[in-house]
Amino acid sequence: MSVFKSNLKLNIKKVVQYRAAAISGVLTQLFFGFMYIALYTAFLKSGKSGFTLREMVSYVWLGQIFFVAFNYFDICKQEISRKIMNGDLAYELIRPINLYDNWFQIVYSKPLGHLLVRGVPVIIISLLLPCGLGLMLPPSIENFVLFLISTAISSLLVASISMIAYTITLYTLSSSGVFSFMVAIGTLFAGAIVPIPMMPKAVQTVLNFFPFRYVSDLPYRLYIGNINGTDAIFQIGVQIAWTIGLIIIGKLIMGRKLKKLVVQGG
Amino acid sequence: MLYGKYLKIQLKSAMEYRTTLIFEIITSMLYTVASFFGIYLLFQEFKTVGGYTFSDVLITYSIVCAAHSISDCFFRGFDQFDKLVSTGELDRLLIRPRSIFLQVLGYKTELTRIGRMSFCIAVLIVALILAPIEWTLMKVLVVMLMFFGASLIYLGLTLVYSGLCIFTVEGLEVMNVFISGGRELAQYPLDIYHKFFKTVFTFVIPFGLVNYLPLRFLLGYTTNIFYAFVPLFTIVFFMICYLFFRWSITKYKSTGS
Repeated sequence: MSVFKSNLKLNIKKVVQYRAAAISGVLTQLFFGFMYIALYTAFLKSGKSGFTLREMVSYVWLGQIFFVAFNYFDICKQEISRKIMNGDLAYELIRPINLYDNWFQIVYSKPLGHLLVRGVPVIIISLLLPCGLGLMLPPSIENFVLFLISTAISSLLVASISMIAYTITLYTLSSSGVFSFMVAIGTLFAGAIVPIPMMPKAVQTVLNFFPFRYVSDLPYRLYIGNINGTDAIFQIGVQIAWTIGLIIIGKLIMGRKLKKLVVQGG
Repeated sequence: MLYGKYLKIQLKSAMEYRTTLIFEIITSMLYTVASFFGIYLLFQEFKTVGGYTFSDVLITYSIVCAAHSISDCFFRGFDQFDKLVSTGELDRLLIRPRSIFLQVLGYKTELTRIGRMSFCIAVLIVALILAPIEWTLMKVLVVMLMFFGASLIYLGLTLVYSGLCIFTVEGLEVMNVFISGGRELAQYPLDIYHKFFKTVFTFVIPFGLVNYLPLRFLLGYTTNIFYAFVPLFTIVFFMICYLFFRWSITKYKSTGS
């Protein structure tokens, strides 16, 4: 637990130090938010859909707020990928902590620092925007609570997905290939390239069988009230199942690889 | 000539690790393919947007995509201009008796982006076949102008980015927002958007000049020949960017090594 806390503190410090980068980060999210709203408004105007304009706007803003947190790129390049590639992995293995647990806590805490620095200003600004253009308030307390629960699980789920990628990197030694693939598949299947409610129904059904949707799409739709009641409880259950499943698989694969590990470098 | 030699050297060094090269070519394509698939899915669901169909949008998408990947591939030296400044490498380049522009151009060529470029050009060709265009020699010229103009816009933007590197390290991120944000935006014909985006991205960063204006001529919505030549105005934009770049170089005070 204290590994997590100290990592979190370190990461927040690092991000705040680069204040200008933080400001431009916020500007980036804002620009893309307005841009996607403009684009999807054009689409929603030309076709009927089960997804209202108000819902879409809030979906887009939530996507921008959690952009760094719910992503699939090589977020721990320094701490993990570099070490695999140049052999510092050996130092990690000497530590008296399970490698999977160690890395998991790093991967889990890294986005949180960014979220606090980039996400919070975007939350405030998008809540304050004039009607129709801004983030709406959840339609009920129940929605908001479900959203909070789901988001908490999402942060674990996205870490477990990244961990699978890092475990694969132990085999491939180069992280760029694995993560290029992850980012392409992950962002498409999670509704970051196109919001899932705006995809054809058949495609949506297929995407239910992948974990990515449950990272971002589920909490956003809980927030805006697009998913409710027993369906919501069921989907959160699926979310938890994926998280536990991926952690178990990740640990198994890693354990097997570490038995026959060849460390790079001298 | 000199540029040709630069290119050859980079090609040779990349070919040393042939498998890695092929692998990287494929991976650089992945995100582009995913975003293409995203657009495909949107049109499966919504059929049209702002009066444009999938094949119409594919034209603007592939032009922007191809121009961006060419820029990514050949103009990489300017992308990395901030490193040139901070390491003092720029001094070495300035001392040489050749144009600084040429040297930075030849500095780094990211050949792996060829995968992405080929994909975008393939999509462009398919788009042009599928679209209901009544082809004339003029219209072929228009497509080439659109492509040429889009590449000029990207080169211009990267020149501005490089010029800014000389003055500030922090303002750069904002530049990136316009470059990648503009690209996302310009994948679609700009007249589907709110007037604000349309105006800014036609008159300030002139994506519109290679986007909906000539597109309307291509698709036959207008027969006014003026719209066919609109991409040529990107030359004005490019000149402004280039002059800014030259001016920045004169203001350059070395950070030392």
